[in-house]
Amino acid sequence: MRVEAVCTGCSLLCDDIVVEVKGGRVKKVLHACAIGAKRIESALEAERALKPLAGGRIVSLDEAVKQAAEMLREARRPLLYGWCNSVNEAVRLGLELARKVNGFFDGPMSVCHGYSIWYARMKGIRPPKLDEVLDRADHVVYWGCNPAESHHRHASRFAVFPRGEKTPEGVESRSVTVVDVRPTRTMRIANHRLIIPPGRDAALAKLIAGELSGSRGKPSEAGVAEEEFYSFIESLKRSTYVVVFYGLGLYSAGERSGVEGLYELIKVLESSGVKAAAIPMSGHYNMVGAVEEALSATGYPYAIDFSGGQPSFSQEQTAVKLLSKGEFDVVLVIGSDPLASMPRQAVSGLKKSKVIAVDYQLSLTARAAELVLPAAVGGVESGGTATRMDGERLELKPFLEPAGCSRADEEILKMVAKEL
Amino acid sequence: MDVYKLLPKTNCKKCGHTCLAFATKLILREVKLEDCPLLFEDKYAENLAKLRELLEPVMDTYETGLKLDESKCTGCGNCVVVCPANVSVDPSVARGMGANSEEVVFRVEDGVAKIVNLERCRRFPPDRINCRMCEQYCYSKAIEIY
Repeated sequence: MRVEAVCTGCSLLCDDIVVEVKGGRVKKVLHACAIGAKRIESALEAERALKPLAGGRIVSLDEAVKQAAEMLREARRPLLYGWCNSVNEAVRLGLELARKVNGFFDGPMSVCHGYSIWYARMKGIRPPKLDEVLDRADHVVYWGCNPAESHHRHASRFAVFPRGEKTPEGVESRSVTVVDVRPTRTMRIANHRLIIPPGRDAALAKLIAGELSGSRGKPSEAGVAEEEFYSFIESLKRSTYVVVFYGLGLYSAGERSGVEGLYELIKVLESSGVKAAAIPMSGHYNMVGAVEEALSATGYPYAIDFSGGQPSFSQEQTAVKLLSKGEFDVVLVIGSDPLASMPRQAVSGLKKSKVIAVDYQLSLTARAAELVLPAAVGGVESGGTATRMDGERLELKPFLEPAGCSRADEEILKMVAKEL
Repeated sequence: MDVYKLLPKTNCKKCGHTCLAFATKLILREVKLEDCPLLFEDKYAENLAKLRELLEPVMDTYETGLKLDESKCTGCGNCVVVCPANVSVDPSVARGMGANSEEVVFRVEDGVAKIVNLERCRRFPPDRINCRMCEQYCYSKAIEIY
């Protein structure tokens, strides 16, 4: 049987996937890239979390849910962490749960693109839809990101190769520029390659803005090669619709000036008569959704503290920072592997707390957790809506039954909330 | 002419062409040696061997011109969408969608690009265009054209 699916391998949420399913097994995956195909395969892997575990012992789902509720109820300061790999409906339940247990709500977005997504919303900037980029953008800039390694289909599905209304020749109707600190694979499809030293993004944005508004700076100020820079400027001046896709490269050493400088440049481009926009290349499939859900429920994007009853927020108090101080005694981790990805001090803090892991795989975090609640693989075994990097909401189309005792994130969260 | 000289030159048209036209079509790979029944008679055995020898490099060049190393491929689909032959048989590919037609040159299956119909490539007869789009835009150098 051939079914259509939406890929949850990254925030592109490719919606043209075709899966051949026979007897509850996947026979073939069409059109998904290596990341997407791997995610679908992972539903059938040996490393899968299939049974609830308490202290490494198999327990019933009811027992595990009861224990999770008890741990959260008795927690002095609980952290609810993850959410970028869960559907919007689950994020909403997570926010309610955090409120209920006076917990701290956060996830990878606070150290990833959460700020970019929030910054744009604060400024009232709505990114264009990727379909509009496909149809109209005649200059695509990849800045501090490397989709050839992270969002494999970004150029072929939307931004560079497709033939659109105003871009009838596809790649030949567009200019492609890549800005990075070293040569990357994405540069293989670029017309202009701007290599800058780390941390010079804001300087480069300012330099480009200056060129557009008639005040000449020196390319050396941004550490960029002169010839390459001016050929890019010439091309930029000929463009009618510029879209900049930017990555974490703009946050050199946690600095936000790169992102802010980029949005200033977008404004200058717009005032010079060129249509321009910027879209962050968030990695996890629903990072945009997690931030948007948090904003609509509390007015804050992430790192939301419900300990005082009412939600509060400080940009400097993220889960990573508070974990490093050993602040949390109980941590519910959903669809994330902080033990594998957080810095050393935060990991030490996490190791001192009791962890409840809700995940489809036995990740490093799940293996070290007190309690494991096996989750269904979003988009493969469970549905809901997810938000693409451009803010477009898509309905997932699951095509397998949840394996073993696994349940959708929403179902697990509802069961825990009910038990509370 | 070298090919023509080795053919039976009887213009029997059992292949549907004159021998001269057949020679041209052989070089363009539009017909195969097997289409000429006379060539397989004993008296032409020597000519047939010479023809095979003569045509081998031509056949080989075209057959191996495009090489896809699946172990390097990340399934980005740049080749699928940039390939003009793919777009002509499956218009949804022009909009960046995966190729659902069975007639395409490239398609991504299980996370890697596969060559489904090499003979649809524009480098093959009758087009024989020196198109290198797939090679040019491959992120991982999985595609090479010799």
